[in-house]
Amino acid sequence: MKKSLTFNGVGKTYGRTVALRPTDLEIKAGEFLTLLGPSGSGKTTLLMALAGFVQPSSGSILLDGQDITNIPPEARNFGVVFQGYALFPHLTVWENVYFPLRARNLGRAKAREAVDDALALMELKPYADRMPAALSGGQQQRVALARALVFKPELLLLDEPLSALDKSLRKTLQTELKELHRKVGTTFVYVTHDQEEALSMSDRIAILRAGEIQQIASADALYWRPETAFVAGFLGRSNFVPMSGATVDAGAVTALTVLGPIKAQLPRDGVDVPRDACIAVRPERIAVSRQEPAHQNRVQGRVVSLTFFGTHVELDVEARGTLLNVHVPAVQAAQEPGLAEGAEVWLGWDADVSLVLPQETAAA
Amino acid sequence: MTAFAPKTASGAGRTDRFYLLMIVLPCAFLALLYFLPVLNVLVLSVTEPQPGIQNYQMLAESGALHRILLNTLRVSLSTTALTLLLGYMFSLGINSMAPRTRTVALFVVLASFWISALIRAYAWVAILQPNGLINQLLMGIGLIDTPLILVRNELGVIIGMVHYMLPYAILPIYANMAGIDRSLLRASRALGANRWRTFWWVFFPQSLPGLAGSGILVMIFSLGFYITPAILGGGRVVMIAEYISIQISETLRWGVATMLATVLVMVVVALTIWMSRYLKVGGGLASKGGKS
Ligand SMILES: Nc1ncnc2c1ncn2[C@@H]1O[C@H](COP(=O)(O)OP(=O)(O)OP(=O)(O)O)[C@@H](O)[C@H]1O
Ligand SMILES: [Mg+2]
Repeated sequence: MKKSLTFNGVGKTYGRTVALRPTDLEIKAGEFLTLLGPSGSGKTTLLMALAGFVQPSSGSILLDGQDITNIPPEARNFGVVFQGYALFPHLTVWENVYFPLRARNLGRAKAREAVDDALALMELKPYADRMPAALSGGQQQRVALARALVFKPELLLLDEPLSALDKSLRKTLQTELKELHRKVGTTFVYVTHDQEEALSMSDRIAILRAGEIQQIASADALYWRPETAFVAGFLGRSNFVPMSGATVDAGAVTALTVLGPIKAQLPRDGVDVPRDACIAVRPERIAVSRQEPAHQNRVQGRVVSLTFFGTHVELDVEARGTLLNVHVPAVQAAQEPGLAEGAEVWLGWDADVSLVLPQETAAA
Repeated sequence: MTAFAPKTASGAGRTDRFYLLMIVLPCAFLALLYFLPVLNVLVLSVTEPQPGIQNYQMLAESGALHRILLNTLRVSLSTTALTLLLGYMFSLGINSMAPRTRTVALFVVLASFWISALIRAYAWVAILQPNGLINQLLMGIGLIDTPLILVRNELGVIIGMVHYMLPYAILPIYANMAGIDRSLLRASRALGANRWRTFWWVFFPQSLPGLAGSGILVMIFSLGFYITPAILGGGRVVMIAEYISIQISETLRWGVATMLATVLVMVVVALTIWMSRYLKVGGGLASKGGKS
């Protein structure tokens, strides 16, 4: 049942618009892969190429080594949950879920058990005879899921399935979806532009930008080891300090910046310092103190603004004309006397949290 | 209630009366010039030539009348069926067009409203007659050597009526189709149904309200057609409206004429009531489609 998928240089252009640059991608059997990126970055294009609705302009798609690039959507045996669910308004909930089995020439009687099981899985039994219009948004979403899963597809594709729902319902359904993934074990490919959603649900996340996959990795790897400035800024927040040059000594980088020389690290072994690079530091990795700290990197600055967020305090510190955003845990901030707007402070962080990242990649 | 904020109680009363007047006037106009004559027709049908229901008894007894009614029914049903078929195909076509070509196509449909039934009927005679355009063309390319009889018979009447009714059928059918959510067709294919099944399982059922509304509309119009069958039928295909006209202006049998008119009105009213139920169902379906 579980199959792996391979994209070999799959690209799509519409006239002169490049929707998807030639992309290589490996989707592992049984994983929960999320495509995350800003609007227009090519997420839907990639997903629809997978579903068979977008004919790639280049490259090929392999399912367990078999080329499926030219197979029509109805023959691919993938479940798809569309944005807005696309439930058939003229059919009852039961008939909607029966639809894919009917398309596979299964009679009503033979399909009954499978349909009822799918409805039970999504806790939809009491609504079997309702029309979709008489369901709440969350219930409609579950019908769409039941319908996409009833024929035990090899792959489930979901295009922003939760974006039409309100925040609290979205949270509940995120948990349910993750639970469902564990239960059915099918490979999920999930599109969203909500980074929180991506971080909380996925085994791996592919970050797309302007038709190109920037990086693909697990949530925490993306967060702590971003490979481009775009990824570092898109997932969570980062301070970016432009650099004018660098010296490399056995993997240890010393970057020349407006803040002075900064000891930093390359995101991976074996990569060179990019031509157009900057230093990225997460706000929560910078320590604030009144005395000079012992960190490898130290700069002195003045607190420009201070905002209390309950769990943490957010500071904007001006150092040598550069504004740095710093998050201090609230308990720690309370122990630091004189931490207020206008105060002179020291900022300190180590080499392993300052990453040397390419600023703009080929995509533009 | 009213659009203008009332300043005083009497002011509110005045605007209310003003709106009431706007409704009463057209109603009075309709009552005087439309319903009264219709009522008069109803009365005449049971008083001419003498009081009683003898006119309605003819409905059951007269062979001539049966033939007329059967003609009317047969021609109307054929017209409706053909119009729906062609209208549905045409609507499918415009529904899948790019927006700009679609505008042109809809304009062509609407343009045919500008030409009167009379002119269209004579145009069809010119095209269909034994030495008309079609026969000349077919003989010219050697497909036939004696002219086909295309006019002054039922075929000619149906051709003319279908042509006249097509725009009336296309507009509701297309309006309904345009409201069908296209992502449903994608969903259907993704779920394993091929194009053919997607059409019959997803698209066609949702286009039924438009088809039903159009069908009843065309049927109602067809039952009362006068000019087109009179000209294209050449006196050989007499439908109810032409027959009524003959009774009134030539044989002067007002009782029979008014009886037939009354029957026609009742059938049309019954169909209209039926249609209004369908349109409600259609509206319900459309709103359901829009939501999901
Ligand atoms: N049918 C099409 N014709 C022309 N351009 C298209 C077409 N479909 C997509 N594009 C373009 O391709 C690019 C990627 O589109 P895509 O729909 O994949 O973005 P997305 O990441 O899904 O965005 P969103 O988050 O807004 O849904 C966009 O610039 C879009 O304008
Ligand atoms: Mg999209």
